[in-house]
Amino acid sequence: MKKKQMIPGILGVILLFVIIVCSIFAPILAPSNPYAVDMTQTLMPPSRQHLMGTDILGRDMLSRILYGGRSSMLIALAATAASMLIGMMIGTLSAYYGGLVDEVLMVILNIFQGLPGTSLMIAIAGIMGSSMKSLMIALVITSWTGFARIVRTEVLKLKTENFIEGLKCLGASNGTIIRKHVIPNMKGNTIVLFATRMGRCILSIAALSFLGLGVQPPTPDWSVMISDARMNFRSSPHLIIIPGLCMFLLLLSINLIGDMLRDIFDKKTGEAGGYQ
Amino acid sequence: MIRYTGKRFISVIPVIIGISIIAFMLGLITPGDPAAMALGRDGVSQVTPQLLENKRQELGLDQPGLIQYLNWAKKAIKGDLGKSYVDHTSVSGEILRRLPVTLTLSGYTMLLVCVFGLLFGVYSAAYLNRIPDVIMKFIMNLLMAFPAFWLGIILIIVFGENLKLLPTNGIDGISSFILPSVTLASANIAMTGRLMRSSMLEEFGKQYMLAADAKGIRRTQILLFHALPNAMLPVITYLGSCLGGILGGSAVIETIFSLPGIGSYVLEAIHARDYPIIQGYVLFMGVVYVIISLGIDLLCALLNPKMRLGGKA
Amino acid sequence: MTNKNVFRKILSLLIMSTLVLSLSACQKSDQITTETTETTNTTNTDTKQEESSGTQVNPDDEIVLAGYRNIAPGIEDAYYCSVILYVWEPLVTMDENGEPVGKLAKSWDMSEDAKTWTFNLQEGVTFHDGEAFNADAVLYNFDRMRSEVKTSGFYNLNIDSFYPNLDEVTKIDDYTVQLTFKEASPSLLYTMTNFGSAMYSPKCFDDNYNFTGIAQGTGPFKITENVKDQYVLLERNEDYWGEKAIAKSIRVKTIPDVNTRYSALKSGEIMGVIDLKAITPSLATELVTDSQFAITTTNSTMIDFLCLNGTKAPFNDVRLRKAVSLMIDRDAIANQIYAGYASPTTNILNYSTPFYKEYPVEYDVEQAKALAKEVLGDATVDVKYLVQQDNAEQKAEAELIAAILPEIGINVTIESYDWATIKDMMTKGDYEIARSQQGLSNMEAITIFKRFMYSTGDQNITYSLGCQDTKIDGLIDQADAEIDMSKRQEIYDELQNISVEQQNVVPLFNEKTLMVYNKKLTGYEAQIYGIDLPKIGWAE
Repeated sequence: MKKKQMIPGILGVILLFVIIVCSIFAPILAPSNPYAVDMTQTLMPPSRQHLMGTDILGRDMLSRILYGGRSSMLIALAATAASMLIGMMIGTLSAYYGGLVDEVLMVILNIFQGLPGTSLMIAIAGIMGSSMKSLMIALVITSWTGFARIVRTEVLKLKTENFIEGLKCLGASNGTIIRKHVIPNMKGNTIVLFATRMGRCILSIAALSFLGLGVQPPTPDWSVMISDARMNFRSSPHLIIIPGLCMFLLLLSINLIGDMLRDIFDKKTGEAGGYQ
Repeated sequence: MIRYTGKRFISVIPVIIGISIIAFMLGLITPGDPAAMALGRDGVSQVTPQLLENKRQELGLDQPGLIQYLNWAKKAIKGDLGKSYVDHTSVSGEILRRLPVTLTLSGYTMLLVCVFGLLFGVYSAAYLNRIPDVIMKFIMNLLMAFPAFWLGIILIIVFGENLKLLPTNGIDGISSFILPSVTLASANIAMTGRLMRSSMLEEFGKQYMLAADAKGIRRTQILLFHALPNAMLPVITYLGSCLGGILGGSAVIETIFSLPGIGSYVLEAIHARDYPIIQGYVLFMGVVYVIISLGIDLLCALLNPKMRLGGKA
Repeated sequence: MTNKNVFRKILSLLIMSTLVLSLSACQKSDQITTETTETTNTTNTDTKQEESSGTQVNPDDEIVLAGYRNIAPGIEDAYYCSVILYVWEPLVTMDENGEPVGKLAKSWDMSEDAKTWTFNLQEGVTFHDGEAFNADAVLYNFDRMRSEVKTSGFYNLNIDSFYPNLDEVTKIDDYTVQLTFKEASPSLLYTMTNFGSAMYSPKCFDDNYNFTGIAQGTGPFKITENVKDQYVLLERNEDYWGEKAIAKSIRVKTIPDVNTRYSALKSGEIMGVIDLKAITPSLATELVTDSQFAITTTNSTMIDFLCLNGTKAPFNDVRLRKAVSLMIDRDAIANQIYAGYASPTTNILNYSTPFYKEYPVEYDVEQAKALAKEVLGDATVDVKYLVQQDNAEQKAEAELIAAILPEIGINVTIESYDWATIKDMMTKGDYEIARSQQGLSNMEAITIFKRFMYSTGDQNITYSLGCQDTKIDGLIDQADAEIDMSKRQEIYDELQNISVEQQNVVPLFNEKTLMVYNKKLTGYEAQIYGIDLPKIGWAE
């Protein structure tokens, strides 16, 4: 792989690194308490005192921006990881054992794939009330199928390979084979899908926040800040531009990294589910 | 082919049953008393316990879950999805009434996705690693990093509020579908383009391409008549699921542009806890999605005989 | 199979599918547009013409307005459409002070014991379908109300809430109707205003008193077309019995999202917004920075408040409820979050009823701290604050309140749900603070006292307010039996004193009806409920 092609990917990694570092060290970097309201200083444009201005309750935007990436990233990461685990489990079981197990699991997979993702997500988050937990559940339910499908295809391929047959002959138990030989052999596509899914989860969280189903207030969160800014972003554009830009950069960095991984593993991923 | 078709048709049945169970469960697990919602929605009327009890009986909420499900499923097979708790209109009737709006929106969106997605992908692949490819990749990355609703708001402000070129809402003719379908299509165009590109690249690496190159066939000819058709196959599969995603994902866009489609219908229902609508919608969309993927599968099997033997891959 | 073969197949399929897709798409949109093309086209060109020339206005041009919901929900709704469309008229309506005035009822008479009411009807009034309005029509509409409770998105059509203890409705002559009651009903006029006495032509119902088509009222406008979720088209009623409307035709679009309504105003697609929630205060202030637009505002019947769970600690202690009330800077909320379009209050009764009494709004952090210290000592309590998901203003408010209450030892966790869940949690008592709002179903104040302060009042119970006070119950019973309205007022005053003193709910502010319109229109004036639609027209 040529070095020149790696440039966007490396940029993505740097960008993501910066975002993560800022989020982790937010308590040190933030100039003031992100929760502290000051009704005498509301909707101030960026100034020396408040580098990114203040919001409708007079809270310092810079501090809220620094804290604001945490919950989205954390939820997206946890939800994607959970989806991957579930998907891997079901995909592996389904492909490895085949037969009736496969049939049944595939039906379940098809059922979940047939559910309208966005609406289901909204319904779940709406019904359970918006909290980190319900956001996670909504995301996992709608995104584990992609992993399961990919893992299943991979394992089916692996199964026919000689060394697995050999291991079986040597008397290795199914559990050991799956754990030690099948799973480690299918990381490529899964990692690429992981990156893509991360991006999508963040987009989904943004969409849910837009509908008022995001992270609970007063926790600062970029996507919630964007949707709250709809009240007065025309006279105070900084309210929507700054968190929007942060969100955009986060997504961009994840996409760039995904691209790079794709190039590295050089396999196409069968993406399931429309982009929304 | 016939056997494969038959097999695929039968395999759909348990999936639809499963979807219907989940759809029904959504209503059952929901906290909040739908009877109270149905009665007190004007927010000023007084609701007595007696009134509430009557309503519960009327809605069949006093029966055990399984019986409620069977009653519901029996009617659903006949195409009756029950009545809205809120305004007592027939859910299937409303879905049918609103469906054309969502279909039109999805139709235009798919058109944009097909045309521009394929175009971008082929273009990008044709100029692999040269400036057009780099630019295309950049554009696709930008499109994917843009939350759809955000793009929608920006488009409304630019083309509606300021330029006054396009309507910001409603369904009066094609012009009012331009902004929403562009909004809904943008990320999908990027995804399709990317997939098309990588699919093309894969074809480039194959033996016959080298042979064709060696034979001295013109590059454009190779590209359009050899690589493109083969590279289309995975893209078609993707477009199928993409259509499902667009149909289901139109909810937010319909809200922003005030389009009275089924997406905004279910959003309102979710806010009002109108179970029959949520259940009916999930079931309906599930069935639509299953039918689309069935159609795509059969289409692929038709185009690629190898798939029929391998079952669903 | 050769590559070429595959290619042909794919290509033909692709072309076919694209064709089918685009065809179906076109067809679909055609179907939808055919009904509307004519009118929309004319409006579009008209607005454009005005923009270019700016002088010539045809007074008969269609005026396009928008509201957030179907303002004419149609035949499933008990009223078919809202009163603000001026399609149907009530016997009794109210003036700008909330006092009852006659509409289809010319005058009335109450008997000494307040058990018999006699109404004299307007003569020479016809419904839109040509039917005459007379005592028989009134009797028919009462029969309809008596048949069952008809549900509506506005107010349920429930005879027991509009005419409690109604015994009989009798026709005296063609233009006189008499209502007799089992109990004294001195405040009848307040409960029967607007939605309580809507009159429709008997011809527009089936045997079960449900609408069979477009509602036929007596008002200055008639509905000519109603497309659900899109628009309702009003035409001036040329045979109206009173002063005729100025505008010839008005189209009211349904645009659910407030930001989209804003955009549509800005782009000139609509000329004004009507109905409740027409526009948010911040968007309205934003809009009038553009000199094309103007704001019209008046008092609303909505009051916004915090419910405190009075059935358990800590808010079963009146001192802590008062402390919360004193801690809240209502002026800051009204001015910063609601751009000044909210009127701070501590009284549960809305300010648009004639029975309302004004109280000073106290904001006193020191007193609040002292009160809280009496109750909590140096300890702190954790409370749950329920707020609706899709309301940015209420969320901002919650964040503000959550940021200040820790000063008096109350640590707040905000949880947002949809309204159904919130109500459910409140009924179960699974909350400490919850944000709610209440509209007046009529101007008779006792309804609010009964619902919120009576020990068996429905909101008192569903919101777990825990208001159990024999003194209040006694006062309400006493007021209910009081025939003399001025004596009633005295009792109401006392009940308001108690509400301010006890803060069973913590009122935040009375809302303002807020509407925005393009200055191309004149006569656009907000009323307590809606706008004076017959008065609007194009500016010269």
